[in-house]
Amino acid sequence: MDAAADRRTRRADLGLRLGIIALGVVLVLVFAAPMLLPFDAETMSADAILSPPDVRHWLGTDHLGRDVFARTVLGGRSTLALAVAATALGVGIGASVGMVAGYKAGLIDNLLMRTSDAVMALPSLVLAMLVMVAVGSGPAAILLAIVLIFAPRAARITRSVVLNVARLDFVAAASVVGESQTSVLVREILPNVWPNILVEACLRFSYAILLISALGYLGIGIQPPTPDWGLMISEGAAYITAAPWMIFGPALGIVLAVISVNIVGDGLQERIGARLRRTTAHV
Amino acid sequence: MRSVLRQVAIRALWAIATLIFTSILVFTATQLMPGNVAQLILGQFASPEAITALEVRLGLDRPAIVQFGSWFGGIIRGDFGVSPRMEVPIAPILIQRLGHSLVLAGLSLCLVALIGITLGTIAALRRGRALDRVLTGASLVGISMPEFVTGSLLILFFAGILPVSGFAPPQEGLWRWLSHLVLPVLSLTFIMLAHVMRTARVSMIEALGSPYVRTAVLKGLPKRTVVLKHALRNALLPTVTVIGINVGYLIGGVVVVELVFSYPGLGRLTVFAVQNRDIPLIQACTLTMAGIYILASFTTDMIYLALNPRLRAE
Repeated sequence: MDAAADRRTRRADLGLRLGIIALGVVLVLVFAAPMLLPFDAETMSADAILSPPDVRHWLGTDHLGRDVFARTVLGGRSTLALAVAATALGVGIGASVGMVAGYKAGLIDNLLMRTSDAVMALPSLVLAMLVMVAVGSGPAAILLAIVLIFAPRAARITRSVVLNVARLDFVAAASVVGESQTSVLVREILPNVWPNILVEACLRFSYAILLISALGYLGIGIQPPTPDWGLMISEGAAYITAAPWMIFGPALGIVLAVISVNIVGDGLQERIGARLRRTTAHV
Repeated sequence: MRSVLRQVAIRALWAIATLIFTSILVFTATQLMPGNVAQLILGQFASPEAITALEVRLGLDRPAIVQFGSWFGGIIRGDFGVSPRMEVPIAPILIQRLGHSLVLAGLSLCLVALIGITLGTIAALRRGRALDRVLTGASLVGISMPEFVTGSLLILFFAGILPVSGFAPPQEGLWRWLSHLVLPVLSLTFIMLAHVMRTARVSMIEALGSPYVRTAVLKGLPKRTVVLKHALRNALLPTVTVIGINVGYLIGGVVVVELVFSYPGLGRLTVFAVQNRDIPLIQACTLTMAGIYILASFTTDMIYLALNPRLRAE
């Protein structure tokens, strides 16, 4: 490894560490702060309507006199929890399908990949809107929509790695020795594929946050009065010149969460990059 | 030459197959919608007889497969049906709104490609120096700011200077038309720019480190020629793919931005349809957006084919 590459790796590791710290701060704020807050996210107060940030209300209050900081923090909790669940489920299902498709090859592979191609032919937001139309809005519908958006891509990426790994000698050796197909998949192939799955999950996680917020903003995701970042920004749009602080809180929440996840994702990708380059010749 | 034609034909057939599959998906999704359509139109207090009569008139009493057939047949003839909420034929509105959206999307895509590739190339040439780090850092912020955040901030800063909502037809004067487009286009450009710039930078760095670029430098070619003719041409391939993938993202972005700036395009029409449970309108809008995306993917494949001599030779 030459000096420049070494320096780059060290900088990427520093980035990874910074990203993990930033993500930790966001998580602590979002999951611990609600217990310490003096305000409830849904309590309205008639004498504090659209009041600017001060010592009492750190991020001001909204058009119904609700504390913006409390709502931002609580909105973050539901968004991040939903994003984690949807990403884990979507990428998990996709990766499993991709592993089976890549290992089995032939007809099953063709069928699974053609189906995922066809689902991917719909733009993400359009697919999400169709799911909302079909099963109604709410957290479960959002979860389903994100799983449908993430699974095909994860399947495709996993499959391409498995195709390369399945050709290697140790996999053939394992089958010759008499390991069952499931055992080969889990014990021989999975350990070589999971770094790619992890990077994909990290990249997708930040997209899940953006998608949940966008649906909330469009008024077809999380429904009021539940606090949600996207929903808060769309409510604040009507008061943007009179009370811009209504959107500052949720906007800051989205940007901080997504940036820290992206930094962690970039760092992870750089760190296991050498390994990825070895196993995936052409993704 | 024959292999090129074959590849074009295969991709075209695949695009048509995908479009048919997508239309089945759209139709099924709207069929699954909870609630009775006739009841939605007539309201809560309609008598059962009136609901049955309307169902017969709308053809909702027929089997789903027959309904799909007549719906799909209509679309092929350019007939998208009538919107129950707006009580007008859908096709003329759809075409007008689509036109507005295409202007928005097209302008953004051109700006993104032009600025993204230029900035990516500059960052790659200045790799590791201050300018590269500033651009890379800015792109990280760009990727993390959704359009409705950028749009809301732009409204906050430019309210009173530029129009922050609505649309002006070009007949009312070029400047008026353009001024309504500036902020929406900027909001769309910002987030996609980051993606394209990052890809262009990475592929440019890879191309600059390759043996053929070293050969070109050692041959004594001027740096300008090496960068523009040798490195950039190869770096463009992954970038074109990323721009193509971004069209899917752009369609979602257009929906959001049209809502932010009350821009009368296809996206706002779709959200209106979804919120009002206007089934024929939902079907028409989502299918149109899917069709645009499929067409864009096909075009990306064709550009890729034109740029990559290796694919043509196979």
